[in-house]
Amino acid sequence: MRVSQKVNPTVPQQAQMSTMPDLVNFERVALRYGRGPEVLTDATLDLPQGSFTFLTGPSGAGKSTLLKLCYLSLIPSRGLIRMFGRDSALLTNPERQAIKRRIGVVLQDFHLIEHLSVYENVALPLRVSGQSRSTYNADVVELLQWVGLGHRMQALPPTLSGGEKQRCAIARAVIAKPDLLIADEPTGNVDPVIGRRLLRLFSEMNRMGATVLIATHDTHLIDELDARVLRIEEGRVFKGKSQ
Amino acid sequence: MSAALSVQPQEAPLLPTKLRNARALWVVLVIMALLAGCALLFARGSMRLSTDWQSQLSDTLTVQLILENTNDWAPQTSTASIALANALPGADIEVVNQSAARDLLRPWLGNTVLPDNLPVPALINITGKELSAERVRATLDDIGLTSNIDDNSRYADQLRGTVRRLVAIGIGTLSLVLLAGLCVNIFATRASMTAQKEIIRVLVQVGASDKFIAKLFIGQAFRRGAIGASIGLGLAGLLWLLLSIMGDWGGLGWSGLGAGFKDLLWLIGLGAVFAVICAGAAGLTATRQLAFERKRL
Repeated sequence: MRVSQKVNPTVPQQAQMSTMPDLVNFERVALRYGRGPEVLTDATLDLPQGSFTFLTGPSGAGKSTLLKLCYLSLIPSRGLIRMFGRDSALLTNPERQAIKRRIGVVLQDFHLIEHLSVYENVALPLRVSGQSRSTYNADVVELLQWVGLGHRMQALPPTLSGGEKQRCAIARAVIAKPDLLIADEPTGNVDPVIGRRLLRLFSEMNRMGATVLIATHDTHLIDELDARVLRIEEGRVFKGKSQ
Repeated sequence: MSAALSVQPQEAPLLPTKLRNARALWVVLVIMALLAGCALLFARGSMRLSTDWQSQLSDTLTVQLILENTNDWAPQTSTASIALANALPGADIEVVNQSAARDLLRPWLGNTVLPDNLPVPALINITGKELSAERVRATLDDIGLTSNIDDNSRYADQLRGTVRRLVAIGIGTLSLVLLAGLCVNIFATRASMTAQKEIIRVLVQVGASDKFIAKLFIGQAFRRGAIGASIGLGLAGLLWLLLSIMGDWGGLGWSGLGAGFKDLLWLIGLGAVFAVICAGAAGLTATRQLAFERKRL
């Protein structure tokens, strides 16, 4: 991981996006939990490879559900989801795990492992993929310093502030240089300066080729970048910030 | 940064090693290992005792001369003992004197005064290696003496049958304890997976395979089993050692059941089996549970 600190954060890499194949493709996807009502209805969307997309919408509209479908944590009640060109319903378990390793996820509640240090949490995707500590040590340390956690590497998550936890979760999501980066309210717990810095990190990841999907309420964040915007309302997906 | 690079410690275990609620599980595992160890040592002690006793029995023969006249007691026992000493040069030949032979009748005749003319059996005890009842009978036949020879075979058969049952009880108990250990570990792994579901969720999210996650629980259960077995089997060995030092305390013949060096090796082997059972149970349970959770999505 070599992250330049001199990146213009305002221009994500979306050149030739229209000619790129879709990394994620939803066709009339619906999801209901148990026997409840559909929280997502006939969602059709695509995320071209290398695109930078914001997903916005009111609370409870289904943003997190849509993200969960994107990172294969849920299976749709109906409809078709293609991930990396593969029908997600036909994936074998090893294929599903291999695809998950190509996705970096930042969740609202961080999901950090509490008995592992910040360093260990961030290194987790690399460790799980079978890499040895000597091969990833430098990358992890550099990334932690870049997100401002260089001095907290050995701290345990319960001792971190909300913002530090968020930066730790983001660092874990990007450390393996994922092809698809999904973030749920990634700047919700950090001050504007750190928020812009994190956005720059996402932008840099996008510039390096990653497809980025960020769910956020933060209109300022959306305004920072000239990126695609998808809006979700009452379980349906629309293009653009507002109707 | 180079300083930071060089100070990173070893990889931390992905599952927490200090679980608050695991103390009761440790106690259960130690008790099970203790019971398993006792059952093993009991079975092995019984087998060893049986072998010792059978060896002693096979080294002794008792000859009863059939006398037509009680007055022939002395000359015929003397003739027989000389002939047997010649025929069995390495054997120890001992004529049971009349007083001792008469005492042997007391259990059947009670404490009443025995008449002087009571016919007492003419008994000769023979002790030696590789004694043959046939050879003894042939020797006595050659000098015209009729005899009954007790080579303890019936007693040895009974002893063998009893020991076989005792060993079966020991092995059965051991098997049940190991089966219980398997069940305890299945339950413990399920509980552990429930307690650590957040960690599992994160691991799944970062792309860990079921095998990777199951290995974590296998390692945890193996360590738990190995440590529990070490303590429990150590206590069992100590208990058996104490019993053998105490000797025939209480007339129970503990010294014969006492542990030896080979028993220590058996205990180590049992400890390894115990740990492998714990690990196997954890691996199987974790794999099945992860598959079940995936289907439930």
